[in-house]
Amino acid sequence: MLSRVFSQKGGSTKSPISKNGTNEMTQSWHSNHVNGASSGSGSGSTPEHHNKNIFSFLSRQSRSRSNNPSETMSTVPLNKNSPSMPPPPSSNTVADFTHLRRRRPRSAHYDPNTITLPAKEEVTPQDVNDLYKRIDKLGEGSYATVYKCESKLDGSIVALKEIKLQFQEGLPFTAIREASLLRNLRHANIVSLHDIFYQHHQLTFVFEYMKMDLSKYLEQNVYGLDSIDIKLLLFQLLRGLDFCHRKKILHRDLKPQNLLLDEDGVLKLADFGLARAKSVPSRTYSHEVVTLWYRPPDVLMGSTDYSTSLDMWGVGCIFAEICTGAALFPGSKDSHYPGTKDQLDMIFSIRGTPDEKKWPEVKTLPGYTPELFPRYRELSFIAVNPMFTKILKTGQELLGMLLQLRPESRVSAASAMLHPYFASFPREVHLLAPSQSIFRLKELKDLRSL
Amino acid sequence: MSDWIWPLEALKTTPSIRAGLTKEQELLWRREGIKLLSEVGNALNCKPRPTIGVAAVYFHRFYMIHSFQSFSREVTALSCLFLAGKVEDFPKKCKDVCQAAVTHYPEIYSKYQNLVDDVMGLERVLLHSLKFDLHVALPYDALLDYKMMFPDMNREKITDAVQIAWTFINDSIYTTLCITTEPQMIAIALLHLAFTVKGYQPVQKNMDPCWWSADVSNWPQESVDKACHLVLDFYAATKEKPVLEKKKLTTF
Repeated sequence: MLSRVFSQKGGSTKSPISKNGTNEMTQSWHSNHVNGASSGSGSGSTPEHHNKNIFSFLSRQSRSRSNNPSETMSTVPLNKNSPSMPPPPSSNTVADFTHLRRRRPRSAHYDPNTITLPAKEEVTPQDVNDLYKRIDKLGEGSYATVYKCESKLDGSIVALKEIKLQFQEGLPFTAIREASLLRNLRHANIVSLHDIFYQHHQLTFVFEYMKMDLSKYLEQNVYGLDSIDIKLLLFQLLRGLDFCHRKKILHRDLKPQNLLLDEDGVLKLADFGLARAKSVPSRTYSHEVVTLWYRPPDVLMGSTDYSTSLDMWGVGCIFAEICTGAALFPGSKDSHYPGTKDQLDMIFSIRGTPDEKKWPEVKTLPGYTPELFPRYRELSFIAVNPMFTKILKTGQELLGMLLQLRPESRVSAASAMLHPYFASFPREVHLLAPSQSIFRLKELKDLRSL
Repeated sequence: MSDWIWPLEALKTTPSIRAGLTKEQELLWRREGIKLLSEVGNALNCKPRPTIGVAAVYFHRFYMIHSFQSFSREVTALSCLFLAGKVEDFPKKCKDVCQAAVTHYPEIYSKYQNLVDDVMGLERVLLHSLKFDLHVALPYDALLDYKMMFPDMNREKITDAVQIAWTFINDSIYTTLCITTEPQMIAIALLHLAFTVKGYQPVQKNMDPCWWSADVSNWPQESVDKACHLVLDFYAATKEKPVLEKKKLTTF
């Protein structure tokens, strides 16, 4: 499951500013002499003496200036509340780096390069195994094993995720990305990463414990969930996802296994980063993001220019699945790319084959091969499965908005939360702080049956 | 969680200075490390935005926690680049990073017997030191937002100014601006510098000359100018003496 920071369409590493048809930006000022750079001819509404102040420096001897560069900034801007140092590390681990320090023999002459630090008193590192006692193995995959654990300090229950390390490239970037992203995502509907240990050649994440995942819950509800539970879960999924998307973070692997539930019916997004990347060293976006059944048609046809709409298709698939108890598009995997014909056929047989008038960009996709598919017409969801009556017409309408073939036409998480399907929810649900669960509201708390 | 912004006073008492480097030496060693990761990054087709920019931020933060005497700038530079590549979804194999370094700076890196192991080992130190807080906001995004802020300006002029400011932001990684100033404010300062250099007048006469006040209140003109001076200092200092002249590290 990959999460990534996205930016403007067309690539995140190039400036959209073009000059003479090229997007390449000059990388250094030294190689780009601009007229006026060395003159004091600046004019405009800014006070003249400030312009002179800037440019008079350029003609000054560099030594007189660069000797004390920090002295020139004698005041800190008033609006900044800068701490003097970052707070102590959240991890209890204090690793020993002594063997990595470069020690050179002292020479007869004084040489700053040979300065060695006095031996510091090393704090005894706290071992993750001394802090937590394993209770159960919750799951195991190729890249991580998850255990239910009890804290030996306070008895609280957590989930420890042990990342298997492959030594060729240091820490796997999926783990690095998960740690990096989750540290900035504090939300009631996103799983909380309490701590990180990197010891014994192992990386361990300490997560809050959640009772089960949605996939397991659906196994216990083979005919899907009650209509009110569907609405409560979908809203929480959209709420957590909107928080991610506002921070320009895509989840990129939404599926029931990655949605966790607690005893009170709170849903949380999980697994931000452990999906296997296609390959290194090229960019890791690829058609392999998102598990096949939840992958949108544009990506199945080879699009790599996706954005939040990628996740919204996954939401639509999950919405349908919690309604009926079965995956909506359970295609099988072929052995070659774009060997996603079966998955696409499943999608088109329900949503209709792409209409080039409504989705002109489809013709540019490398995997678009209209001749391989029969002409399908879009079906109503009721025709697909009568159980979609649970979500009424408003729910079916929202489902259709999520499962638009054309990515630009898919509804956003923010807009979906405002859809009439959720009209029965109290207005205050949109005013909650990110860290507050929707069940803080009495009206919703009373609706729970999970 | 900290926003990783230090007050200016902290730059006078960094670990390296406390361990015996002068302020001038440390500033020069920061530039050398940035030059290394920037040139090696270029050789691997990394761009200033985001990989090299993020790597530079890691480098500057790291040396607010550790000293140059304890951890060599040449190895730290490569570890920062390697780590930033993974964080920014543009990973490079460690051996490719090291090979590019040896190719471009043979006198600096050939002496390392196990450079790959050194870079990998330092990655672990980096992750601990940075507390796995690896998401870094760069000034470029804020700069692009300001492009829409001056409807009265000629379109060509604002595009020109933004392009110059973009270049200033690229070069600002050689300064300590990223550890003393928030990305949005760096964008403001360097766009202001671009306007000044080109003699462009971004606002109408009757408007507040501090056009950034709507976004960042109480940031006076003189403070903006002081941020600009850090970049100007870099240009002036390196005009006479380029960073890594003859592709060698300085020694004192």
